[in-house]
Amino acid sequence: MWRLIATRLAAFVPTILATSLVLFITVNVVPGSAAKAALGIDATAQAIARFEHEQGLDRPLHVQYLDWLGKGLRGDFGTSFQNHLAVGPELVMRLPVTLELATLAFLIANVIAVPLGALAAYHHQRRADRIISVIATILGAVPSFWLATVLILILALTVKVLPAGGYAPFTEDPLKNLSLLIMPALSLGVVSSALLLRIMRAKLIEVLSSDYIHTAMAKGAAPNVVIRRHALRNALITFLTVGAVEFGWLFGGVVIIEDIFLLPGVGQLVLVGIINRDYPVLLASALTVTVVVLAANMLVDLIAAILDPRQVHVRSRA
Amino acid sequence: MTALSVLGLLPRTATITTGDIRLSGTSLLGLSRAQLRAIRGQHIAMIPQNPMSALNPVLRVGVQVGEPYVLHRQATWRAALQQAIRRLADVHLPFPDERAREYPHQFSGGMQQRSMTAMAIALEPPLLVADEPTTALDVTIQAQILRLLREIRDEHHTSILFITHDLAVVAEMCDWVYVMYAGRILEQGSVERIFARPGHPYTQALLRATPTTETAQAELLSIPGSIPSPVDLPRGCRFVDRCQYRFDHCNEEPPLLAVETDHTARCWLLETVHG
Repeated sequence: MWRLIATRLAAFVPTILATSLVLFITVNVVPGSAAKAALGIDATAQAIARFEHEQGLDRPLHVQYLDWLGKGLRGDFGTSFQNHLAVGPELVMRLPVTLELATLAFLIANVIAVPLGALAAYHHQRRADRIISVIATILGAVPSFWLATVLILILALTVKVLPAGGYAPFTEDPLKNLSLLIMPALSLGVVSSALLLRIMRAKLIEVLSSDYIHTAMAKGAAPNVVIRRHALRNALITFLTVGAVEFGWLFGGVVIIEDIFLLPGVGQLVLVGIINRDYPVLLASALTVTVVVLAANMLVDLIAAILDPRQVHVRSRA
Repeated sequence: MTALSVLGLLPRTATITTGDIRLSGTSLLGLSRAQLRAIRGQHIAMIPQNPMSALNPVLRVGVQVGEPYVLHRQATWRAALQQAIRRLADVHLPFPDERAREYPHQFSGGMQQRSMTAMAIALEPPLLVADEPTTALDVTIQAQILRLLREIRDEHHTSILFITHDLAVVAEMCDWVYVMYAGRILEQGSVERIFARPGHPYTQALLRATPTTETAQAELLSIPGSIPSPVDLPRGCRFVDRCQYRFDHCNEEPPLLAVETDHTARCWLLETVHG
């Protein structure tokens, strides 16, 4: 088990380095000028040159990268071209918002996907399965920004039970925090439940046809015991791996939803960074998303190893 | 299929159209799902063909062997595990209390089949259905498992419905034999009589096809042709297409006719001989 954790952690470092390099190159290759964005289109050539010299943008690209990386390792992600605030502290402030939103959305997706997927698999090729499959297709086809708009229209503007947007930290006012996050989480979670539901259904159908399920039934176990004790855990091993990818998608895909609901999260920062060519902001926030996605994948690998005794034994023998 | 239908575990697409399944006089076909569940594990248990895939990879062996006590005797898991360890000792698994805490993939094929046997005899059911229980095992382990099954039959007074295509195993294990072909019983009788005087051409061909150590053979004898598809069965006798003795009467299905006392076969030749 510890060996597994160590190998996964060791793979973490080169992945982050490679991603940071790709990010850095992409940001700098994309057309558009940071100086013009910061100073306005009417800026003189002189002013632009001065800005680029001040920010070190006139140096060769590899020098810029190493400089950024070196400072980044020490926790210094530079200051924004736009408002001259330090990027690091800004990210630390925004990260909990996005993490909470993505986690809530992920929970909602699973609460929908696991029981419905299991139900569909158990009633494979019968009416319940068909109805659930149609629902999954519809859910998967709905864009989350559209769902968000509809939710606001109904719950915030017509029925007026929830606020339309804004943010309050959980530590200060948990109830208000949840009431503000429930709609954005729903619009993300419902959409991503479609994929998870289909994975759950497919995997469970496969598991339910295996010999050990026959064994369990031959022992006289009732259907709910067969599903819970014998099938679900086996299906979850595959399901979780897909779940990690889905969580990554949720975390990286919150950009528009955060904008709609006026949530001060990392997604908004990415958006602002792109629009303003604010390199320090863009690089640091994109890298944060990468780290979170990688961490989620690692966590899931470890949980899968706990659920599946074969993985632990095979790897610890090697 | 025979084993699954006895346990009432046929796939949803299959139904039993004719015949009956009786256990100690009660028909199993009329029972509700809940009644069937009460019978499975308590009155009938199954020993599978492939123990590796029949054990759940993510549950400890002790949990799987002990589960029948929880399902049918409302035992606590702690008590069930104690019973599981006792059963694992019954099937001569070395270090049963340590082994009960391990997972199936840590077991050898023979140990896995011993565990499946321990699971099957957990509640001492009067009937065990062993569906080719030694096919997935190598020869020495086969012999051990067969010895174990005989021991269980004698000590726990368990009937065993033993499904196999291995005639040597039949000779060693069985008292009463049903020879089945394409879903039909073609011959039935005590093991001695069937081996001494096979009544049906199919049984005769099977026995001829068994290689022996006494006579050196250049080539294995086989029955020409192949088994008919269940959706396109021949009219009359199921074996007619491959039988070397077929004659006009064979396009009508024969009943089980007497070969001798307590020994019948489904072949018109017997009528000719006796009549």
